[in-house]
Parts: sequence; structure tokens; C-alpha cells
Amino acid sequence: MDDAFKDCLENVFDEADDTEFTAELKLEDIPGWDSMTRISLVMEIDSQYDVKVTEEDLDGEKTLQQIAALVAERKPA
Amino acid sequence: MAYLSATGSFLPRRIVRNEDLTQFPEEFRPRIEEKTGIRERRHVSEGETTSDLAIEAARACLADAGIAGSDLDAILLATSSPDRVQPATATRVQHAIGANKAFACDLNSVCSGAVFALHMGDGLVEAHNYENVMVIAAEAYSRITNPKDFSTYPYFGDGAGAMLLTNRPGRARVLEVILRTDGSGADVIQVPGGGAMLPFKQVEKDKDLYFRMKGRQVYEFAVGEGSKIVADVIKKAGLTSDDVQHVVLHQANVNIITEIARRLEMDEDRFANIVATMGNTAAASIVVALDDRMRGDHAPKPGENLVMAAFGGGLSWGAMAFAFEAEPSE
Repeated sequence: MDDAFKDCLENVFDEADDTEFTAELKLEDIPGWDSMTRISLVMEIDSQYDVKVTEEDLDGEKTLQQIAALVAERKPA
Repeated sequence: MAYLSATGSFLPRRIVRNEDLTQFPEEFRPRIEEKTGIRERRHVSEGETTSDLAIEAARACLADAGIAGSDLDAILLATSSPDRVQPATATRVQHAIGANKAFACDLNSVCSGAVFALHMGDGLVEAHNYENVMVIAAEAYSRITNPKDFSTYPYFGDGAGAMLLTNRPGRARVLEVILRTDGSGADVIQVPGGGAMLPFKQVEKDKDLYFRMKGRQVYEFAVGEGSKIVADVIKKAGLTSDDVQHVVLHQANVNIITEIARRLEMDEDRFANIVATMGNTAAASIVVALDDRMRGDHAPKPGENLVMAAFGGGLSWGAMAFAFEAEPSE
């Protein structure tokens, strides 16, 4: 998980001031995670990486490491 | 206690519908209304600013009262999106409406600012027997929210409202007021950059230039303290909820209004609700909503009671109860 991805998370989760974004942390466990921050994260990933993920991609108790891997996989070469 | 003698409001002419927010993907735009009930909001146009809205609201209120700007003793302007860091936005209003004998200053208590300013205005009338104190609340959040931030930008709008408090009998009499602040929550709602804590030159992240809030904490605070303070001010005024025909809550989000009505066990049709077409106009929202209520089919009748309540950054919250009286005979 690179610093740019942590920036992404910091931009979306205003509520998570005291949260350490570790690889094993699940999205659902981040303070402030809800249907609106999920949309914000989809848009933030698009804006930072030019990568399309869907809301469904973020469902299912995914860890930050899994999301970072998904973004890396879809990142334009 | 002072009397409420007149009201006025002004909305910028530019209507921005959810579908006009093309910076957000099309599939996400319907979520704005689903989540908050907001269909459209007003935005200032280029060259228009907070004081322009305040000036027009003040003029509407003066016309409603049938007095001139020169009759005012004081102008208190609640805003959390002022024209500039200094001077007070109210000074431009004072000049524009010819309030040459009035002093004018701003008061920032974010979304609850109008209730705070009303309490100060009521105190000035009570303590100094001022004849005419104008309380204005004006905001242009389209200028302080990040247009690309889906968690804030769609939910706010611009607008202004004004209320005239007098020492002579008017439409309604102030019954009671309660104000509260909990500074331990000062970081929950904020615009971090541009003040002395983080001057513009030291801002490194764009997000620090814009309004932000911790949404879930704000919701819990709003429904919890919002419902409690309405109940408390009703009790302090010696009334029961059955005696209150009108509740004008901060217009942040339809779900907050519905939840507070549920917790108070009061019919939702007693609650002003202009969220769908206005969005959240911060401090201005309860004054704009009151002015709307005064002119509509639900206008308060003599003998009825009304509670205004707002909650917002600080954290801060407040409520004021009014009793409507028969129009004074000339």
C-alpha cells in the first residue's frame, strides 16, 4: 500500500483522524464508512489513479490491501 | 423579552439541480436526493457574495416592517461564510441599507449562528430598550465547499434571511431561549485553512481550504442534542409539545428533521421543511424557513407558538420559543 493510496483514504475519511490505515484494516471498520463515503472513495480512486472501481468492488469486508491490489491491477500501464 | 416584528429573505437566482452537478458521475447524482431529500439548491453567481444576499434579505425585512434602514439601532449578522476574514460582513450591509445610526457586527456560530444572534438581539432590546435590532443570517457555502467533494458540495446552498426584533409589540413575543456550546467538538465541523491557526501560505493540502465535517458524528449530535434542546425550550417556556404548532429546525437534511420529529413524538407537518429546494444554507436556513412559513398556508396564527432550533459547528446548538399574538392595533 503506497502513500498515494493513504492520501486517498485520508481525503475521503474525515472521521478517521485517529485511525492508522494498515493493510489488514477492513473498509467497514473505518470510522465514517457508509454509502456516501463509499461513493467518495470510488471517485477519489478515479481521480488519483484514473482507475474505475465500482461500489460492489468495495463491498464484502475487503481489506485496504485488497483494494490497493485491485487498483494496482487496473492501473493503466 | 423582545418582539419579532418582521421577516424577510433572499435567495440567489441561480438554481442548481442535482442533475446539473456534472462533476459527479451520473449514476451517483440520484443518491443526493435519496440520502438527504435535496433536489436543488441556489448558488451565488459570479461577482455575488454573502453580503449581497444579506443586503437583499435586510431590505425585504425592512419593507415587511415598514421602516427604513436609518431606523435600525443594531445589525447582527450570523455567517460562517463571510465576505472576507475581516472586516465584518455586516458593515457592508449597514452601509448599503443606510443604517447610519446602527452598529453592525458578525457572529459566527456556524449553522446555529442565527439562534445565537437572536439571543444577543433579544438581550440588546431587553437591556438597552433598543427599538429596532435586525438579525440577519447569510451564507454562500458554494464558495467554501469543494466542488469535487461528494460528501459536502451537493448538500449545501446559498441564501439569507432577516428578522426584526423590537421593543414594541409585534407579531410574536420571545418566550425563552437556550444556547449550548461543546468546544470539545471544535474539530468535527471546520474550514481548517485561512485563519491564524493555518494561514493560507502554509496550507499544503487543497482539502484544508474547504469546509469539512465528520458526517456520522454530526448526524448523531444533531438528532440527539437537536431533539433534546427543542424539548427543553418548550418546557422552559412553560408549554407542552401539544402547545407548539410550528417547529423551524435547521434545514440540513430531511432525515434529521424526520428523526427529531419522531423522537419528540410530534407530527412532522408541524415542522418547516424546505430542504428539497434549498439544501443546507447553514446559519441562514432557519431564518429563510421561518420567512417561508410566515408567508405560506401554514403561517402561524395568533395564539400559536413556534420553536426555532439549530445545531452546528463548535459544536453549538440553540433553540428559541415564540408566542404569536394578535397584530397590534395602530
